[in-house]
Parts: sequence; C-alpha cells; structure tokens
Amino acid sequence: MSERRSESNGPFGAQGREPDADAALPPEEPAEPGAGPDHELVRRAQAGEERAFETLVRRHERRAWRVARNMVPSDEDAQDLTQEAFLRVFRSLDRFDFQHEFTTWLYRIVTNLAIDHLRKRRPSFSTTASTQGEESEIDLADPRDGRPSDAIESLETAAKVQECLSALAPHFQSVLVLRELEGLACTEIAEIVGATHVTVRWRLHRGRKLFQEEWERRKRLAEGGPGEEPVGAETANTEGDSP
Amino acid sequence: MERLPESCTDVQASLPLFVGEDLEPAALDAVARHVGGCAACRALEGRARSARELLLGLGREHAHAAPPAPGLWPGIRGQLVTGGLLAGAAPLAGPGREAVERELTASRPGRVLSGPVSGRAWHRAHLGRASAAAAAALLAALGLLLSGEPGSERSGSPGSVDALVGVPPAAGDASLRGPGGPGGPGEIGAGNATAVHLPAVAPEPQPAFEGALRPAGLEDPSLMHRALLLSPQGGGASGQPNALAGQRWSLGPRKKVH
Repeated sequence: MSERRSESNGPFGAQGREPDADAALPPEEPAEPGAGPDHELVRRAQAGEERAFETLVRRHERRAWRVARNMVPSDEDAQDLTQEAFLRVFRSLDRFDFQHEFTTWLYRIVTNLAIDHLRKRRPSFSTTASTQGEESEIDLADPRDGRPSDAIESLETAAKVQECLSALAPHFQSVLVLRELEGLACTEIAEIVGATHVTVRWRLHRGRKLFQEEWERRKRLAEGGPGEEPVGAETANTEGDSP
Repeated sequence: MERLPESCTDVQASLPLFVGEDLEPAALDAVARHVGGCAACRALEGRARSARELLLGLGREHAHAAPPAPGLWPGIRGQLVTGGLLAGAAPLAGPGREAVERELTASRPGRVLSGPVSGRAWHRAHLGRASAAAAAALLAALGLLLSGEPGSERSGSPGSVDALVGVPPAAGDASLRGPGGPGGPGEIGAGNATAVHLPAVAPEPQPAFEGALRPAGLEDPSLMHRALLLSPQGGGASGQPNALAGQRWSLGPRKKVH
C-alpha cells in the first residue's frame, strides 16, 4: 500500500531530497511572486483560473520533462509524455487529493506514461527509427562544435549510461531515475510508483545491481572480452522479479 | 530489527544499498566497518560505487536539460483550446485556423504515444457518441445556414477543426491508454489506490461539452459552435472581439473519488 505523507513533507522539503542531489540538481524554477504553493494553485485552477494552471505547468514542466527524458530516448517523446501528463492533470483537477503533494501526483502520471511508452517499444531504446525511413540517430545531443574533448567524452559516456539504463525493465528504470537522477527519497518514490517502501528499496537494490552487471558486461564486450549473456530475466523489459 | 550484515556474503549482498546510503544507520555502520577491513569486499564496494557514480553523472548531465523554448505551456494550452476545455484567443479562421489544421494533420515520425496529433484523442473521450453525433448534425445545419451551399464540406471533413467537435469518437480510440486497459496507464506496484484514470464517458445523450469545462456564459453549445465558426478574428456573430477571450471556465459537478 502506498504511504501517505503530510503536505509539509513535500519532495522539496527538508526530508524529501538527498544532500548530494541538492548539489547535483539546479534549483527549481522560482515561483511567480505571490503565486502561492501548489495546493493553492490547484484550488484556483479548480475554480477556473487559467493563470493558476499555467503557473503550475511553468513551475513543474522542467522537472517533469527531465523525469520523462531520463526514461525515454528522445526529446520529442519526452515532450509528448510531459505534455500528455499535464493534460491529464488538467482533466483530473477536480479529483485531486489534497493529502498528496502535487508533484507526487504529477510525477506518478509522468512515470506511468513513460513506463507504458517503454513497454510498447523494443528493448533497445538508444536510437529512434523514423517511420519514413530516415536515418536513425542517437537521441542524446550530439557534441557541439568547438566543445572541449572531455565534454564530448562526457556526452558519450552519458549516452552509454542511458543505453544501459534503458536495457533494464521499466520498473527498475523508474526507481533508478527517480532515486539517482532526481534525488528523491525512497518514501517519495514509493508514493509516486504506488508501491511500498520495502518494494522500492528492493527495486533499487536490484536495479543498481543489474545496472552494474550490464555496464560491466558491455564494457567487457567493448574491450573485446568474452561477451556473457545479459543478466537473466531482469533486463529487456521483463517483469519477473517483482516481489 | 534487521539482522546486521557481518559476513562477506551479507555485506556483498548489501553493497547496492550501501553505496547509496539506503541502509538503516546500524547496517550502514556494520558494512562500513567490514569493508574497511576486508580487501575483497572493499574492491566490490568500489565497483558498485563506480556504477552508481555513472548514474549520478547522467543525472548531472541532464540536470540542466529543459523542454525546448518556449516550454510546454503553449502546446498544452493549444490542445486545451482546440479541445474546447479552455477559452482561446487564437483565431479559428484564416491563418490561425490553417495553423491548427496543419497541426491536426501533420504526422511526426517516431511518435508512439498517440495519433498524428499528440493528445487529439483525449478530448474525444469526453464526447459521448450520441452527443457527438448531435453536434455533427448541428454543425452541418449551421454550415448550410451560414454558407448557403448545400452539401457543405465544412463539417466532418477529415482534419478540419469542425470535425474535431463533430466527429464521433472512433471505435476503440484509446491510443493514449496503456496496457492496463481503458481508464488509464498501466500501473506498477500493488495497491495503487491513487492512480489517475480518464473519466468515464457518460452513456446518456447530452449536449456537447456537458460536464466538461466550458467558458461561463456560453452554456448553449450552438452559440459556442457559432462563435467558433464565424469571424476571421474569432469573434462572435455580432463581430465583437473574440467572444471567448478572457472567459473563465466552469467545472462540471465535482466527483471526489478518493
């Protein structure tokens, strides 16, 4: 069962963010002067105030987009996902449960949409293939002209890490994205994914282990070493390890 | 209370959580003490930590990523307007209309979430079949009335704005719904009591947009449709500036689900 959290312990409150994540992630978009907290904006949006909903979108779009982008391989898919998530939020405003944080709700929708998206696609997510036969391209940004070589290497490494992450089953991916890339606490993740804290910790444990094994396997392959089989049933979108 | 990891086997099994400090404090201390004195476990801990660092690095790489300018709001607002859930100031005739129609008919390669226009299907879910059919008939009648030409193509033509409000939802049009079946995306984990589901489509015939958000003061669907159809400036039949601009929308009856 999902855990209930009070309004004060939001993802941006003292208990919601890991210390290292604070250093890694940029601060959230500053709220508009006088815009108020999320719940107030939700109430105003429920009352028909377009500006309030717009403020909610502008306040959270960047992070929601980033969560989606860390799970799906292209900017375009991430944009579609995030846009659809906000549309669903709009349609369901009148059913919002004020016992939850707005961000929890939003990230749940984004995560679920991303997982649905991943389940419809092939296991290899590192490239997009145009239906019109255009040449496939790597979805992460290409190195820009004139950037230092270490930045290019960083981008290449990021692309490989993304590939490796994408090889995992969606329920592992989602937990790893929310924990490692977004820096959310396990209790928050549990609310977002609709699982218990114990389940989230288990998926985090397995996810990290599987990611490490997959990364080391690919590294060995790249170095010309023996290519062991991918880790059992836990990679490539299989769900068999759910507790 | 959890058994503290003491043996190499227990410690190595705990490493994936240890490297992220996701163990209980007592277990963290126990593993740290063991790793400090065991070279084999220390080596494995290093590998696990390096793997985690890769993920953290990906997070830092993406930390400044953002949706392309001007952000998501214009697209979201556009879809809410075309879906009739939000009053829009954008003209629905002339260049503005053409832009909307281009968007409706454009196909974007690689998109797997929905049809040619992202999110177009969602608003169809709001229209009961009977209400959409009634709206189509009304539009056809208005088209004949306004154009004076029998057999007007304005309503129902594929890709047209009019078709949006007039065409009954396609059978099985649930392209936005996940494998979990109608009602919402697939869900992970058990006991997902707070999942978001699409509202059920009302079975009985009702006017278009009944229960949906619509601008206050324009309760009569025929007035709304007329306002949408007429005037290059998007204004009403009287030629006033956009009759829908600045309107606040009203919600249907609230249904508290949780």
